[in-house]
Amino acid sequence: MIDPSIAIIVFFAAALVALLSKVNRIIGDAASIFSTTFALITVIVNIYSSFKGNILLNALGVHIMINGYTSFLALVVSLIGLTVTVFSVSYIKEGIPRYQFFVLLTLGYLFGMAYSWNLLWLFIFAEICTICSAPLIAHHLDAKALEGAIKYLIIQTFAAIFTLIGIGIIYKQALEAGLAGISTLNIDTLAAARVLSGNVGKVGVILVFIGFAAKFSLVPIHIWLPDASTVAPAPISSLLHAMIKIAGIPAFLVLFELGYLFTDAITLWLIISVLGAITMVICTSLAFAQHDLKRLLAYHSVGQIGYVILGLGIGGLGMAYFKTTGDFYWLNITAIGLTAGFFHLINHTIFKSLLFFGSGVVEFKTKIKNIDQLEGLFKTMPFTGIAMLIGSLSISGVPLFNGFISKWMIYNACIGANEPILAAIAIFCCALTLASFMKVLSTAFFGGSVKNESPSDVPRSMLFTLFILSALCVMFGLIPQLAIKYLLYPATLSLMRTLVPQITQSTLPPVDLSISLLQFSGGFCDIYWLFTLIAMGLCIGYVIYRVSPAYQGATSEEKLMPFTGGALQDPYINIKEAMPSSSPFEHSFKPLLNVLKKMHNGLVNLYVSWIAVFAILMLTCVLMGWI
Amino acid sequence: MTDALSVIGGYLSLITLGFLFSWASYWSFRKLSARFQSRKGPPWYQPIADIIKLLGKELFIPKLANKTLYALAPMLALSSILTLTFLISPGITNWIGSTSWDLIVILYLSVLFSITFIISGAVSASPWGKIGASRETALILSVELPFALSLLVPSIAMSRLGILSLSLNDIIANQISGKVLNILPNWFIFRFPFAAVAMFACLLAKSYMKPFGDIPEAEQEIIAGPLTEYGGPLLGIFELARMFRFYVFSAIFVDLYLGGGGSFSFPLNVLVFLAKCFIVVVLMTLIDVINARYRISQASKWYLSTCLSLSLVDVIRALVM
Repeated sequence: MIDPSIAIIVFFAAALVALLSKVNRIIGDAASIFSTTFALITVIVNIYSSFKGNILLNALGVHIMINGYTSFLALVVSLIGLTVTVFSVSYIKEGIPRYQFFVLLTLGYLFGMAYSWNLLWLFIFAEICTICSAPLIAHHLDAKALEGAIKYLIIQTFAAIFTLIGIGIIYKQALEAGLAGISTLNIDTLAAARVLSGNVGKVGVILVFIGFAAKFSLVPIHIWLPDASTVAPAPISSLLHAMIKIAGIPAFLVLFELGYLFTDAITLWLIISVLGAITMVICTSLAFAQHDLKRLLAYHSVGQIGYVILGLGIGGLGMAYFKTTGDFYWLNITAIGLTAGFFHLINHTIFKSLLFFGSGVVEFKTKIKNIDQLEGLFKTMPFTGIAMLIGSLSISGVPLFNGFISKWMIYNACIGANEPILAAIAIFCCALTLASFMKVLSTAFFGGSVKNESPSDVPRSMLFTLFILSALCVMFGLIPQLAIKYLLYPATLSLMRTLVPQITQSTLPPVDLSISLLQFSGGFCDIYWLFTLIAMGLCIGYVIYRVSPAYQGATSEEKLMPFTGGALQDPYINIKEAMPSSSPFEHSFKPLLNVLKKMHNGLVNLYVSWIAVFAILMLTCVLMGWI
Repeated sequence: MTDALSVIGGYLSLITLGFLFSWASYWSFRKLSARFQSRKGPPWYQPIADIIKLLGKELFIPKLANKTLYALAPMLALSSILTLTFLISPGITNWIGSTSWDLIVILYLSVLFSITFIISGAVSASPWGKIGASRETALILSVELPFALSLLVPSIAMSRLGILSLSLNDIIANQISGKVLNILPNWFIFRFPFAAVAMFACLLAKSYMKPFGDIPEAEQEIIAGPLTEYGGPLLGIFELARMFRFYVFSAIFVDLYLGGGGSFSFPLNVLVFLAKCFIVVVLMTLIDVINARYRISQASKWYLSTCLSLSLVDVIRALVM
């Protein structure tokens, strides 16, 4: 075991060293890459030692827990930290000391947040992260970047007030029960001691939930994210999307571990699952209407977070049912839901970073942000094109890529929990995502540009990042069991064990993940059979193609222009001209879309009031005794 | 090992069955349409003769097209539809290819089948292909939500009875015993007629039938839509894949809503199933013949309002019953 606080100190030291990169930027680059690599090694060593049991440390007054859950979050942070720093080496050209200083500070605090197991420390780390990342959003220092950063700060600070009040209430109840000291606020102490009670305790927990959910960008409080990540540099957008998950997931941790408090936890978790589904639908359909590549990705990001919320929500729902019925089937559903949520969290971090980096490369080369103005990129930058293709297929949940496995597990969890409508919505959003990325790919990448440009490479460090992330997408898609067994299942178990202490990986045969994988009625086949069958079909097609007499005398070398029937001078038109007058949603749901667009008018007052309205609604539910 | 052999055996035998059925129904589709329009119609071997002819024709790929995807699209279409052919139970309740998550696999693979069509249009560098691809995108987006909902209605209804399954085997078994209103068989079409209508409408769109399904390839407006540039063996593979739609999409409807092969013993239930499939094909043909083509905006409006509300009505009924 390596003490995670060493890695945090390394981050801070590297941040100070990076200030010297004014002299020579190699100093800063070396410091960043060294510290993130060190963090990655720390995490991997700690994952190994967490198999033997939980380790609770008190390093410099910070309560640090090393278990499956925290190791998983720390892995996400260090992975993204490494790719962000490597990508930034050739991407960021101005304000290098400032940029590297804040990136390393943010990463350090984020790393601390991933490992901390105490409500107060979670809050402190989350707020310092917010403050450190604001200068990064404003990195370009133009009016739009500053506006995005200020919006981000206002909304986050407003939400932080809720967390602080909530923690105050929880601490007061603990004091009344005779516990004192910061260690009272440790998650497992709070869960085990059962000091919270009554409506006051519920209000406290709900306030903490709302504060962290604003970081997670749950739907009524999601609005800051697209604005912030559109103006930030591409690696920062990617870092921001990893950050929201690490800083937001305590919302679910708190609700899950302190769920004993609620009179009707089933309703509570149903509300959260439905909010996840709404997040998916709203943000994915809004993404469909975007023309700025990064803004489109950001809306999809929120949409994908809807999947994570849905998975975790179903996990909580299973736990609530287990407490009511005592049926072990529901523990199974809890395990699948939580594992699916965590899996989609790490998958989303990987493929969304890949897509953001890809968009960064495109912007780096072409200086164009609008998708409609891009064309034929697959020919001029083939490696980026392949990376973007892999990223798009992963995010759309196409088999053989990682997004498919986690989405598949989420559908299974929904159906297992007897909520097939949520599954149908999730599948529909999957199709919507795919269609939206078809638009991007076919316009910007595959569109046949008539211009003859020779392929030109971007700097190697960028390609290296893209390669690593694409490889992870494919690896998690092909051998998901590896991640599930060593990373996600321990994370799930360490959450469940606080509530149901008799659960361990070996002593609990009823909780297994086998039902989440495809089973033929014979009972011997798994999801690989499906892949095999698809591959068999492809082979049949290819054989027909090869043996056909035409192939033998193929004249594909002959260059032919497309047939236009003389109706068009230029054989190439972009997808915008080809689109029917408007997208199907604008036809059918025009009133609804207009309301949605009004809700996203860019005024920070409106956004803040949405948080307040959401808080009032949730608190009304508590005080009326509905949850 | 014997299990692997039985899967491969099942795969090959169902592909043969699906191929023969699709051949017969594609021919009867063309013959019936011709007779309704006072034409003579093609001879029985016409569908397969077309494909064989195409396999022998010259192959060319447009200069501006992305060659890999251009060649991959038809093969992916064939692969997805063949996998679907294997997974969908031929009306029997112990079909070896039926999985515990059938309905989701069906949703995925049927979308994949439509997506290959979009890919082929988008990469072929033809303006007509682009227009067709964007129309197809709009169409599947409109169809997918009512389709997913009405696909899940039988499973929701069964979950109220305590059977938590997405397997077609279980759905067929559930329809075999019992009566609706003491006279009608216990088929889901009688229990949930609205969802059945919605499902049928969605299957029309998925199998390129009028009034909405052939908007992406409207030959009077955009030549052949996504397939404009295709020719030779690649078009042949596409045509082969599209021939299977007759079997796959009618089989989905029969298994889910028309009770599969019923309670008969082995060879007879498959025959009953095929007869039901053929009736569905004839119904589709009738609707295709008597309707004109609509605009894409009308299609998405119709699917996302009428069709979606039909399926929602039955989802709610299934949830509260």
